[in-house]
Amino acid sequence: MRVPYEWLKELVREVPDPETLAEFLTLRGLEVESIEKISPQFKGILVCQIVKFSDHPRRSDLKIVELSTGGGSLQVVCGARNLSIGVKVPVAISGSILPGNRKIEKKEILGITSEGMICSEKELGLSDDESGIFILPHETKVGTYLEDVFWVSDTVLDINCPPNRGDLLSVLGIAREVASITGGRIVLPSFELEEGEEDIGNYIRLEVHDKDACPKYVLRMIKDVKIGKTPFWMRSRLAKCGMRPINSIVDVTNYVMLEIGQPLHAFDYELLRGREIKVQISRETFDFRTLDGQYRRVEPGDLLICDGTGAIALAGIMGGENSEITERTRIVALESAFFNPAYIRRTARRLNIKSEASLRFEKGVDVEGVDYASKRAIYLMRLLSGGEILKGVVECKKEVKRKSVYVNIERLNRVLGTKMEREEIREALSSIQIKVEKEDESGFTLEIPSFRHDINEYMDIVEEVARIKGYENIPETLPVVELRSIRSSKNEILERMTREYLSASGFYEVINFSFFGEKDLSFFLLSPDDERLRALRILNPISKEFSHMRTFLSPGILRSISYNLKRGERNLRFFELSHVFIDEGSLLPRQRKSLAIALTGKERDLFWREKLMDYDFFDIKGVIEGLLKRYRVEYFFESTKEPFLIEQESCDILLNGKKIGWFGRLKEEVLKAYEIEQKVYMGELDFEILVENAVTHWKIRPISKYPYAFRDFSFYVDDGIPVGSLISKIKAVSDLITDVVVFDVFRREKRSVTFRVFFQSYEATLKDEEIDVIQDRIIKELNEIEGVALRT
Amino acid sequence: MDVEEIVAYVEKELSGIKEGDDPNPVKVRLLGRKGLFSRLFDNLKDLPPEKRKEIGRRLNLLKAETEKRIDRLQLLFEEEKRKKEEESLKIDKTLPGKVPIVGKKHPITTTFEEIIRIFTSLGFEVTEGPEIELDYYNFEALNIPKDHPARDMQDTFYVKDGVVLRTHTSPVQIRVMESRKPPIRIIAPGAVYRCDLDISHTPMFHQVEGLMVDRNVRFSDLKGVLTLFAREMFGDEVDVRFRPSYFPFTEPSAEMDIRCVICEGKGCRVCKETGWLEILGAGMVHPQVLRNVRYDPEEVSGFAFGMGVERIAMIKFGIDDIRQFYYNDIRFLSQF
Ligand SMILES: [Zn+2]
Repeated sequence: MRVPYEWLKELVREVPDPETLAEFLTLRGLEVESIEKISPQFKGILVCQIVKFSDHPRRSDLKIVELSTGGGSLQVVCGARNLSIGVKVPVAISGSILPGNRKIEKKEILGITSEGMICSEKELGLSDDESGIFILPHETKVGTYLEDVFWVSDTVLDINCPPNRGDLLSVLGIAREVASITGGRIVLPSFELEEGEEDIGNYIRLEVHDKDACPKYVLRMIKDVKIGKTPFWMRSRLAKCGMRPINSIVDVTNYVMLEIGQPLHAFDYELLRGREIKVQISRETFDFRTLDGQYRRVEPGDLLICDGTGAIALAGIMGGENSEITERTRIVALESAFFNPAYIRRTARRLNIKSEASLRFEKGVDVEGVDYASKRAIYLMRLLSGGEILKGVVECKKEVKRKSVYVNIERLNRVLGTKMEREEIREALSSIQIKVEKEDESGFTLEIPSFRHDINEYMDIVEEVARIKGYENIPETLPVVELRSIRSSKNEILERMTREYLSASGFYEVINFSFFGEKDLSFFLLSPDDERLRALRILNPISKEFSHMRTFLSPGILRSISYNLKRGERNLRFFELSHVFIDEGSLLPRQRKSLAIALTGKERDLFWREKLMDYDFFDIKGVIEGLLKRYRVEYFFESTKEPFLIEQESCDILLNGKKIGWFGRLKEEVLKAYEIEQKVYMGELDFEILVENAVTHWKIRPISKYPYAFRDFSFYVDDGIPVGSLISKIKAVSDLITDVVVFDVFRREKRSVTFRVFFQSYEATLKDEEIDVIQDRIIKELNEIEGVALRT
Repeated sequence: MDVEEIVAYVEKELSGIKEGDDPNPVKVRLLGRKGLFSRLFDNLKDLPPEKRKEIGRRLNLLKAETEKRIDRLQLLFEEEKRKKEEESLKIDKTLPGKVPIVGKKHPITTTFEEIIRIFTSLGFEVTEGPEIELDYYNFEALNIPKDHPARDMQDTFYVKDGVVLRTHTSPVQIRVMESRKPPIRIIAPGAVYRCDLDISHTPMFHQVEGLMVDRNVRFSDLKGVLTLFAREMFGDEVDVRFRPSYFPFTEPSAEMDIRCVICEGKGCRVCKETGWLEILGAGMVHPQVLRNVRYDPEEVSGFAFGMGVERIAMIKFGIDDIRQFYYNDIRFLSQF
């Protein structure tokens, strides 16, 4: 809600300066988002009165105007059409400054001296109106400077009101809060309604079909109006509140809504068919053209305002084009009503209309203020557009009682942790017009004012008391509770361990949005039965690239790699540990954590002492093996059929015979889709299965007191024989073998592999003869394999 | 045996050794077991006795002199050798060292860990809930029925009828309360989603939810616990204020601000000239929410809070564009 400070001061006595006020309101829960100073962009503009004017001798469309400056007089040549004797106008004279630092000098116009310029609103930067000179309000004093007149400079507070406080969506609503802070008094605008002789009952009939949907409806009318331009003071207030001026009837409805919070609607009476208005709930579906020119689909259950023939407005939301006020309107029927918020909310939401009226009706307006708003508006309409107010009112209402709420004082204090006295609470509540209806030993029965739709139960009162007393006046305490130990879950422990292992290994953690696009799915060449294709589609995605919930992390990591490569970083190590989502047909998808690891480039670009190698298969394999060893799980690597991997450089990862992930080198066509032009090795694992199987508690093996020994063996190994199988074979030979390391692989005619085998006993220092026995068995076992031969 | 000739020979041998050279070959030739002097003394016995004594005396003098000079040369040689060895050990210590390659956790993770550390030390337990959530848990149970104006505050992503991407971590409150009885003290970290993207909004971001329910939990407790949190997170000198706010699932509701760390309260762009930075939303659990999980509001009360992890990280590290967290730019990630 945008609140002009000067307007606020009209409705409440005692208002602190805007900055202090903003602070007060913010601490009351009415957050002031901005304080906007409106100051005139001009200087030295003199208020003058037109004494007389005559045609320019050489051009009849120009006039020579004589102006009184209070003490003296000026002569100005002016081309405006709306000159009239006696009116007060702003005049830029020699030395005045107009917006854009434009300066005015005395000059000759076709032989006649012009000592200045009579300005339009646009020339003064006050509005876009350039239809003629700006006629000032009659009470403006001649001889003063325009910038000293209060209404050209102002401060607008933009207040973020809580969505449940519809009562704050008016200057009056804010004024009530201000009054409760400063102890000031609310002053409603006073006016006297001058009604004509003719009775409204002769003009119109009202029928309200459902009084639950519309508990109050009031019609007033005015005839013989002359619709024109609204005076500047009202237009400028509308503009400050962010509304566009329209004409002297519609502007009044908006003005009164901003002033006291009651939305109003004006119908062109002569366009109504059958001299009647009916408030009813639609029973059919049809298209209705609202005054913004759009067709809206009305459905059964929507609340409508109808005339004798059909709909003329969507109640509380927007009027119809068929009864709209125009320049030609002569008789106005003015609606002021209270509509049931639930009806307005439902229809406005379905049609996706957020009008100023619906915004207020759907939060609830003040049912007791409906009649006052109607009177205030019809009065202003006559003030601005002339005409005659018809006598009386046509209305339909049902009795709406004020709510009452009981509050136990002890309980109130207990919830807040305070020790407030009965009188203190009573005073706080009465400052916001909540009155004590009855009281007993333990508390009050309170009467809630009709504009407070947000107060329904005792907790609402607790909040109001806390708000009025100020949160800063509630003590800070620490709860006294029973001690309890807080255990980390296995998942938490393993997540932390994984992140620490990977970051210590040189990997940066990335976090990507949980979305991906249909394109990502096709980039990975997945076969039609792949579960990763079962991605949930978002009904209202933010973009095409983010249209689905991701089923795996790899696309996001590739995007991160691509992003960094394009910025000149060639060596990247990334991991992500986040959720993926797989649609299994149930209401909620399967949501589990996944772990993806990727590397590309090399350890670092340059180091003076040595040349560094590009990352290859064995780098990703090593990282994954190191990780799996930390989980202490039994894993196997097997050849993979993942369609996005180069099979020769990739593996599946198995746990208990079940595939839990993969790693290896991505195909070039996949990388190209992400605009990556260098080799990328990556892997992705089901983190949930890892957590299930991981061992988090284990016993430490004592360290052997006896020295270790090693022997080296070189074998010719045919290409078809996996070295990994030989390692297992060697390990199986004896319990005394603690480790087998491959320390050389080279090829002359045949592949030659050298193993270093470590031996150690927990019982004694091994003798050479003991090792010799094992050595012979290793050689024998390996030599028995076809394609393996000891190199001598 | 011409002693003069011998002296000249020895002199020639000794002066042939440059200072710093190895004197050992000469030493062997002159003083060795089969060296010159050894041979000369052997030959002495062949000389007549009157000559033998005189020549013997002169040879002894010459030998002593030779030994002295060789010893000196030996010292010089060793000195030179040591110098050479030292020379060869010299390296250019200004060449760059080899810095180990390590990575880092994402700043969102480290901020999560810090928040979790503080609350677990206060006896709050970590829980999680689904990110794709039922409308019931995300809205209805939290006192946000259909058509409620508060639904406009959160631009929701919909997946299908009755299923949304959770817009906040608050549904975890409901899931926890449904599954156990008070006393409850939990925090729930996780990702949340809203349909929005600009300098201060991303469609996914992270929150930590907190909930404490017990007999007689007071609004003053909420203030105490969250003030303690702010001090732990931002330092003991941090200035904290609470002001009224609105959330459908808490009442009274509050927002906690800290004094702007950038301008120290003078007013700047980051704090929108107010001098205060909003840190979290909180409030007493709404009686309707308690009734929704079949708790009796007459029996138990509680407070709940929720905070944006990115927002806290942005304040702590002086980041002004929330989207930075999701570009995964290594030049950004490496700075934490
Ligand atoms: Zn600041």
